[in-house]
Amino acid sequence: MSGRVVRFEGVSHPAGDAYDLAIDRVSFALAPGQLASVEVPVLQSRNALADLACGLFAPEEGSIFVNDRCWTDRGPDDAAAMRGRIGRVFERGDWLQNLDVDENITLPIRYHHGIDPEQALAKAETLAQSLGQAELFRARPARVSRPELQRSQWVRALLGEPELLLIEHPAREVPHTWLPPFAQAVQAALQRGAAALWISSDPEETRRLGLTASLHLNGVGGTIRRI
Amino acid sequence: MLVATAWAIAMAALQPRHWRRPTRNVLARQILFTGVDAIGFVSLIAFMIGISVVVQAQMWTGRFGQSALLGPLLLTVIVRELAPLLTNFVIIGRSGTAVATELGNMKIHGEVRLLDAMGLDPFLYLVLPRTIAIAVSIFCLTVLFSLVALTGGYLVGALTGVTQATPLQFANTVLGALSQADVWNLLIKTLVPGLLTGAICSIEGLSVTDSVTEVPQAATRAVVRSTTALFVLSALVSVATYL
Repeated sequence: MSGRVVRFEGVSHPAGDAYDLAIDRVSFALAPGQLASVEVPVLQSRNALADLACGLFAPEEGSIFVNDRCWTDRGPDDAAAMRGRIGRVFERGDWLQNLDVDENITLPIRYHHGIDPEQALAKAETLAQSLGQAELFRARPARVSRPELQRSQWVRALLGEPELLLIEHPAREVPHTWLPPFAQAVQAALQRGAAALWISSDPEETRRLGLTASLHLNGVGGTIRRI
Repeated sequence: MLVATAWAIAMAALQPRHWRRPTRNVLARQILFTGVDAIGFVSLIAFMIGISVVVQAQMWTGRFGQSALLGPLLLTVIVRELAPLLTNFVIIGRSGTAVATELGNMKIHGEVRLLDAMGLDPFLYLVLPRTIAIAVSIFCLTVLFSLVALTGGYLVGALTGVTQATPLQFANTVLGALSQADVWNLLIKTLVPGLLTGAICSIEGLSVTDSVTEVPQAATRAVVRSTTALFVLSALVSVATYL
């Protein structure tokens, strides 16, 4: 594992059609085991932090490094392989609608690590049970309830022991009683050497769940800045 | 951009590292939908065409004492021209629109971005298997079309007494007219339009941006452009192959 899992250097990016919040000269670095918490407004929560952190596009200003390599220095195959080592809970709860939920969950590790489908399913089942989900859903995402889909997102994000976790509003639409096992799994990932970015509208969420944030970012006011 | 995309797809298809198991699963599903599920429909059209063309050809060549021309005539009309053209039409209408619509909806609903974020290149996971499935299916269905049209036409001709030739005589007449140029013609008129159709429909589908109302518009453009490319290519290949 490198010295710093993710590093933002002077990153600025405007809000626009796709995002509610701008990012203004944000610089930070997360070493293995560190977690950053980001507070965003409830009604204006869309922001580019997670998309930038996984290198989907370059910021208007600044650079973003993962494992000490800038995204712009990576070729397409290298970038795709790196994204395969990033686990993400998506704000919009994105799913591939033409696959069942269990196929969605295991797709990244089957694709990137060539794991046999049955083996991948077994790993996912074990992880799901540790998060309080009795079994994986063998149904299209449209047929699964939103709380269970959110919990399935946790399984997808944590499967495969990712090096970087991008967690956007993990508590949305789930009962509070479901959260502790997820927080424990995140803590275990941090202890294993991963880093995490936790984005939420509740500034006390990580603290309540027993997670210690090494640094804080705040987007209240329309622009994300480091506190 | 279209030719470049089709070329990129062809080159990517030749690299084994691009065919990971999930991608192969997508390819299998697409071949099932594009190829296998179209067998009945293509066979029906082929049979009808066979009745129209083969029976008439048998009747008129026989009437004018030009039975020796039957094989080359059927080869020219059915195998060289109608089979690739009509099969491509069926696939464009049936699968091309489906690909454009599916990818357009995936783009609108954020699924393409999701694939990117998970490290699955949308070009390799979505476009590549669909395009290859279309090309392979068109080739196989065109061969099927030719066989069904010729066989069906012969059978109806024999049943109605239009032809006196035995099945073996008929087969020898057609096969005797077959040349190496016909094989190349078949390959080029099936695989190349297939690649172009897959590329066009994928590009159009992935070009939608904001609204679901763009999706049917993209599908319509995909059909028009694919059909145009098909006609242009078909004419060019025919001229280049046989003149």
